[in-house]
Amino acid sequence: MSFIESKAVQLLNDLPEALLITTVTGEIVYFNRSATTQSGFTHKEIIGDHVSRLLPQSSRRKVDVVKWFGRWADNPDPGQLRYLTLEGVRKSGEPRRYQVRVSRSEDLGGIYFVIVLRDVTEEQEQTTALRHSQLIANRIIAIGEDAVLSIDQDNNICFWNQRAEKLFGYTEKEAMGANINMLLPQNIRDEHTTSIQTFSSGKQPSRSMGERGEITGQHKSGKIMPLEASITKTYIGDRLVLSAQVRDITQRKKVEVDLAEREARFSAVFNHAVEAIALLDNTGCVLEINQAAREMLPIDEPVINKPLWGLPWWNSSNGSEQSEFEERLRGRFHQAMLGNTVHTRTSLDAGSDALDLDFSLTPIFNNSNHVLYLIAEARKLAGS
Amino acid sequence: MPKIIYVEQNGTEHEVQVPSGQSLMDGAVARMVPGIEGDCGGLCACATCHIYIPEEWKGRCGESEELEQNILDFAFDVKTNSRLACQIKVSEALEGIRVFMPERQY
Repeated sequence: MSFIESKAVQLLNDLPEALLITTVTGEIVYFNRSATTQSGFTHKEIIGDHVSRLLPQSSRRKVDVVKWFGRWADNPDPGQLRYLTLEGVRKSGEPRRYQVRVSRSEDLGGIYFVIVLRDVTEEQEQTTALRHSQLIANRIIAIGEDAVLSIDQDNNICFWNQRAEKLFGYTEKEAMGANINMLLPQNIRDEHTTSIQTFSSGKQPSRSMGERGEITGQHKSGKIMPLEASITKTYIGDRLVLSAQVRDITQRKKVEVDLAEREARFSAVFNHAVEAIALLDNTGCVLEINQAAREMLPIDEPVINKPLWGLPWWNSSNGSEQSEFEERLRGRFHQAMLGNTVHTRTSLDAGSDALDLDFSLTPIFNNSNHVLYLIAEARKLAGS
Repeated sequence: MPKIIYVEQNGTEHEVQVPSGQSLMDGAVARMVPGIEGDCGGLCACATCHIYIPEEWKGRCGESEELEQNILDFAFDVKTNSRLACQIKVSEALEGIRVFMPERQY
């Protein structure tokens, strides 16, 4: 008898894996030390008992443990043994999940199942939690407003979400594996390849939409689109994956152009009006002032955000007259802030030219009926 | 491409276009339908793509083989209309099918 043979029973008991032996009907006849540590049951408590004490029959799953021991012993399918786990319980009542390996032994004066139970509870919980967080992240990406795509180091597409499909017109099947150039107009492909190389070899991990500025993409139909993209790089082992979040800015650009055009039209009216006009906030400070109003001021100096009564209206050295004028203007502002349109005639001593003016302050209300702005208007009276 | 409606236990419905030839499991996993895991990738070895097929659609889903029936032992709350989604191939015959998911797969 060899050393190993003489010590076999002791070695079996010292095995780092939890090992048990049952009859073909499930009666436990052997339970090694790791099995007692793992389960919490002592030899005395478990030997002679049915294996269902360790692996109880679930009320909501049909699995018959002993039947499956037989199946796995006869046909140890690696896929099943990896993915199918058995519900177990510790002596304390704590539920556990076990991966199982079984063989049938017929050399022990009968037929027995030799079973190794590997506790995979925590491993399975972590895998499940990871899968679920991935599912949440993937669903967010899937429904996001931006197209998301990734390319490998050969510039071939390796991730493509539903928005990308919508934006560029290629299905996931068409896009996966295709070169990124497919999404770019011919004339910028070389430049884009260089830009990718620069980013890939640079130190910066990501570049946001604002940093990159506008780029151009091409739809499957050939239509050229203005786009914005954020890009980030990730090394998976030694493989570089570049991922981009891409947004179509066609609509935004149109809105910007429309807005600029409207702004230009309003400015044309405002700046070329014969009347002097200023828009004031509800503290009396100037927000906008037109050319005609600026020309009434004897001194050309910044007036935005200054109170109407603090502007250099007065060119005279007569301080008391000036402060009287300012006081009157302030008084009219307060009247207008009460919601009244104030209409008056006034004289302005602009140096050599004394001006007689028809002056008004009109309050503009917000939805809550509070004064939001005031429009100050002044028109030179005939003959002044 | 046939339209498949996956209904979660809580009643949430996911309408997905699944190419013919793919399995009901592939269609759900590709479109990130929660409640169908497909751990083994379609080897009929894990019981994490368990679904319920309405009686009126059972005939169009094909017969389950012995292996699938055995693996269903590990699924949660198995009923007479339980199937593994990886074992049902999508075809035009399944256009509009509503399949229901169990409370859990693990």
